[in-house]
Amino acid sequence: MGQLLVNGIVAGLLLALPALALSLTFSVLRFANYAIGSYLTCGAYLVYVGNVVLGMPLWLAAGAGAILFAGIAVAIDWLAFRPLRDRSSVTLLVASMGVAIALENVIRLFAGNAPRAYDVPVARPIRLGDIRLNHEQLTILITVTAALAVVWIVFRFTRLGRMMRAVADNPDLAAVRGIARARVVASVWMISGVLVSLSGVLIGLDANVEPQMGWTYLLPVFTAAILGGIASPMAAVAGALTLGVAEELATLVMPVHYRTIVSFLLMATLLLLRPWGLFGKRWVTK
Amino acid sequence: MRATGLEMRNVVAGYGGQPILHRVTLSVRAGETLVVVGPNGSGKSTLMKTAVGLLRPFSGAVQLGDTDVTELSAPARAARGLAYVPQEANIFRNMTVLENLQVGHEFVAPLNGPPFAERLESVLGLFPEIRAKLRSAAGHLSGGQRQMVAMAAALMPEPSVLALDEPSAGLSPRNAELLFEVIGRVAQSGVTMLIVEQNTRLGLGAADQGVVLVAGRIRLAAPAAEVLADPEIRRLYLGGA
Amino acid sequence: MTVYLISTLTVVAIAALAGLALNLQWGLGGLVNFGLFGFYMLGAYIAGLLTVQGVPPLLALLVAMIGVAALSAASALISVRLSEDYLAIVTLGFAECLRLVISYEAWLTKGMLGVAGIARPLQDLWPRGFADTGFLGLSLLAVFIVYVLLQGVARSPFGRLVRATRDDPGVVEALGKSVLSVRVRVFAVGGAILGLAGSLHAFYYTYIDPTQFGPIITAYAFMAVVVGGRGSNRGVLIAAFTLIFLLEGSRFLIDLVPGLGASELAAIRLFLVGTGLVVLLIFKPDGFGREPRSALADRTSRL
Repeated sequence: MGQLLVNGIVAGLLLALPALALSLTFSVLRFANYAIGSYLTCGAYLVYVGNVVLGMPLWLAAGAGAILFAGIAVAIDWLAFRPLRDRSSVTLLVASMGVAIALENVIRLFAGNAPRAYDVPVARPIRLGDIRLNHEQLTILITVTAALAVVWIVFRFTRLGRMMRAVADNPDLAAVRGIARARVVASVWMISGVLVSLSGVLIGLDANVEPQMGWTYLLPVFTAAILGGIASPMAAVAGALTLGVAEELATLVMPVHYRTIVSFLLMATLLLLRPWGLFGKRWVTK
Repeated sequence: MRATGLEMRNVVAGYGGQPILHRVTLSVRAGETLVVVGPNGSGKSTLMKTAVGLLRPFSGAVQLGDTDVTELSAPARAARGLAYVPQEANIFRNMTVLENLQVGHEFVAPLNGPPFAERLESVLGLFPEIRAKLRSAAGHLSGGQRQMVAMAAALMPEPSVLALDEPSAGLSPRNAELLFEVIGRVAQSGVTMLIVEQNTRLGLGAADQGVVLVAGRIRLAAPAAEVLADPEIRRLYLGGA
Repeated sequence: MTVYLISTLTVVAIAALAGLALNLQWGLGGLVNFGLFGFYMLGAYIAGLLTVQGVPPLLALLVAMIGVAALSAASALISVRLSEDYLAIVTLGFAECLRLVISYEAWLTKGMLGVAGIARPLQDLWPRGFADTGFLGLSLLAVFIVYVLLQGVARSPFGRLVRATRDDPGVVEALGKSVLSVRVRVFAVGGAILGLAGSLHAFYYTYIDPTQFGPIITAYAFMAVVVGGRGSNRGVLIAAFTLIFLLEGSRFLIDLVPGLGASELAAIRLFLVGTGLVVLLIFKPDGFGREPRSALADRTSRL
């Protein structure tokens, strides 16, 4: 039981960063970025290039890859999403599907379909009483917690954080208070780019780096964000942890490959009963 | 601070190609208060949004002091000393009152201007009631308190022009009067004010100049006292008093 | 060469059906169905599994259409009070779950091994050596029938109601009509067409396995609708028989260009689909077909 809980929390932490990123872009841009899965894959592959092809240590490759991908996320916004900013959120959603397909296939073209692994030493799991924690899980725990702490501090206590929260809260008022939306949008894409590529690395570390990895996480990430009431980024983290534990507990009664179904059932039930999320405040649909 | 005027010339503006304002011209002289009154749907909010840069006019010009700001965005106009309090949704609900004031200050206030703490004290002097609420979420305040927070946030950067959209809307008569007392004090400190107001008597009572807007056109522009005294205005908007 | 042509045209005809289904759901009804591939896959499996059990193919096809229509309607029910963004993700989740169940419930679906030896309908009608041509004819006939039906729907009072729910659900509710019921019916009809498309897929390849079905099927359909112009059935057909024809036809470049592998070619093709979708949305939002009327009617005008 304790072991399940630990596994569930780690699984939830893996979801936390992309769910936070999804919810952050949603809160500021008001569109659900379906391409977030392929962003995750892309980040993971960039780091793979740094780590395996260029021989950097993983932490360095992860840092470099995350920053590089942050730039790519801004560039994608500039090329694909910005010209559509004034159109309906559905148009943006369909565009993000196009972005997802394009990105995933660029990866397939250059890297092929074979799964790959990062170059990290194999280490024995740590034992704490009955509970086993392997090194990947420990890395996930530390990295995600640290990243979340940084994001929280940025949100709460910095000028940039107030800018983002102000635009998410009330875009028109933010504009008349002197906040230029374009800068906030760029920052939001950069932050979510970094978060998503970090989670790509962690997922690659936990399993493999392969072109499908982001797709597999797409539904759980959306579920986590919706659990948190999609427009509240920090609640998305709570949503991710809840989902992680729920999925892990469900393995008691369901085969492991049906985790996604758990995710879907949870999302469907929630949308029927509490469309504004478990943790979020009511989000009024148009 | 040098006082600044605000001018709109031949402004045609609206939504989706449909004009709501038809060649509106008005001018708020530096340091004066101009109140726009008019029935519901006459285009008062459109006028306000065009003045502050949330809406681009189809034609015409908006001038702030010596600068033509027609092509400037709302943030750029804010940085030039134009502050605005919308009628609804005029606070950041998910932020604390203090954060609302901080956001009001930090993106607009000139770097060499008075520091945040100093401005905070001065604004709290105008609105002593919100001092006790600084740490509360702004979304949890009462309507009257919200209006004060919104005004306070707009005043944080020491704007030279303050635009208020229906400040008394949704307030009890008592709160509306209190608010207009504060508005009077702000006006006396030399801030140029453009106010759109439904409560004709209260609004015009606080104004130097009055403008009557009907169906997107200016019907009458005169010193506020004259507008108040105009028999037709009295008949139409002051309940025949 | 004719073999290539017949094969490509058949694939295009099936994709056109999926495009028409989406055009009803999204183009006319404003309902974003990201899970299109799941319903299509379900259609293929119902038809495939039933024929393998000896059920006559045409009957299997009918069951597939009804089955997918029912499940499709059920998935729309989840979206009772939701905006489009949520519907997209709900349908996607639904489709993904279908795919998982089909992949792993091997006792029912033969799982990853796939279903082989699926019989085609009306196979004996065609002379020897013309089976594929005959099937192409059948597929084109299906496209034609669906097109005529959908044109009828678009012009009918129901079609107007569907457009109204897309443009302003509030008004429809105010008129005392149930938006939910319209949505469910649109999803059911679209589902039936997807069931048809999926069945034809199973019949054509005579072998199906879970790897044949993925979000790419959804992407093709969206491409057809975006290129064709939302709401325009004719536009969707034209888009399918030009653009998808070219994209599918590019499979055969493999024999012409040395050093180009099948997976590279597929990646390039799909990259083009993805970027093409974005570029079209930006530069040609109304597509090349005739837009029945502006979907972006001004809803912003309020004081």
